[in-house]
Amino acid sequence: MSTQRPIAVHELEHLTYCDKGVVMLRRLLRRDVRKLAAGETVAGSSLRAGGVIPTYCHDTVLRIPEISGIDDLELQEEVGRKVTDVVVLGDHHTVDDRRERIRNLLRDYESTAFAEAAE
Amino acid sequence: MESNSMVTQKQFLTSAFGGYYNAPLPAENIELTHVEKGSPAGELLRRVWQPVALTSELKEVPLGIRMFGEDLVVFRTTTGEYGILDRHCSHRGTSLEFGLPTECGLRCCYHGWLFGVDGRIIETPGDPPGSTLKDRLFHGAYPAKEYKGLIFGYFGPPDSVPEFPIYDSYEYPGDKLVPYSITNPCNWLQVHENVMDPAHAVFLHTRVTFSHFSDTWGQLPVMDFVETPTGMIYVTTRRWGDNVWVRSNDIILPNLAQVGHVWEDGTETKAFGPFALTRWTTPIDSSVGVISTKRPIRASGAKKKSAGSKNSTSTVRGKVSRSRSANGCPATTTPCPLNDRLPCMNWSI
Repeated sequence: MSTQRPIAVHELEHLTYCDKGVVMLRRLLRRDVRKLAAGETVAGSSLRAGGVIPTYCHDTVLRIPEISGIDDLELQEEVGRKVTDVVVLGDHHTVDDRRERIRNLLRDYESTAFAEAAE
Repeated sequence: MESNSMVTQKQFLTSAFGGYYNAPLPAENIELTHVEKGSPAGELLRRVWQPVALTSELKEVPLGIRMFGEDLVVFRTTTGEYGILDRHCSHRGTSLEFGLPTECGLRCCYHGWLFGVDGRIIETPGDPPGSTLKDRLFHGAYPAKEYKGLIFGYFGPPDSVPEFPIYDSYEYPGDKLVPYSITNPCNWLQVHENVMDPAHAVFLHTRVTFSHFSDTWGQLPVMDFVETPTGMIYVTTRRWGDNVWVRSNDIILPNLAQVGHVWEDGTETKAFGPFALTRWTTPIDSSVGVISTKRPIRASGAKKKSAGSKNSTSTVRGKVSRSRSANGCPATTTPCPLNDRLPCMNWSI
């Protein structure tokens, strides 16, 4: 990381498809930096589950075999999107047993998708 | 790619052996990288509690630290309260690293001025009894707090100290959190944004270096990036046999990140498996950043255990004492027992 120079020079980079996350993080930081500079408040998450703030880091491995006739990269994209919807969206992020609820929803989705693959 | 940005991108060279045609080196992106007083990103980072030291690094005497380009000391009063003060005494500039913690504050070794944890000047003992100097002046101070092995400071305006946020990962059932810190001789942002660069794991950690991680990591995943109520996550999705492995690393704005297990390989099904580390990337100054991390130790699973021991080796190797490498403190300083009632120093005033 220090090999990118002591302070990386963004103007010299050639950001591509795989750097989307870096671009998005810089955009969010720039948004908050400018909000603050304009005298606005930069607030953290107001959500609480069991008195603590929910976070979103996870590994999920579901048994969903390839489906014949469907491009597998498209299927993976679909699984990624469905899993992320459960992990980020919905009313279950403010309940005390959030983790359990997320796990159950993911297991439900796995069963549905697995059944679809078996058809 | 950088919409709404003040950064203009350099164009690719269009001729072979064209190094000669390179333009002079442009300046860095000041808005996001610089952290010293008055800088835009520094102001943002100052609005949240930041880790400044491991609790285990702080002994009976103060510890010199550096944050946002400011030289400071962190100390613990003899009654267990934490304080962060400007490093140099308001009187004659002596380093408060050599000060003596008392019941209510820190006493400078040179002429005995006593500072409270809030910077209040409690005593100027060399002055006549009627001196009102101490009633009028404050020494620079920042609020401090200890939490599960890390000492945190808040460096923003004193009238808007935020509540100390407790994330669910701090309270994960059965976890014992182990803190450590690594000093990086480079700007904070390039350390931090690596967490949102899942492609580097395919190359740096797998294909190019012949696998730090499992072979599953060598597949270029389907990638997505999604905003969350706390910041953003990456979403990587890979197939491994009949399984589909979805992984997200988490950034909690501005500079907290959570990363999943590096020994995950997609072979065993799991739903919403937990984080492997929680880490802050904090700026010492614009050219040096520190990663302060809490890594949980979890009891279950032989696989986790063996991979965990591998990781703790790299942790020990990577651990660098902040005071030596980042602060430029004299390495010869030897604290002596407090019962002497005088700090001892290997330097002369």
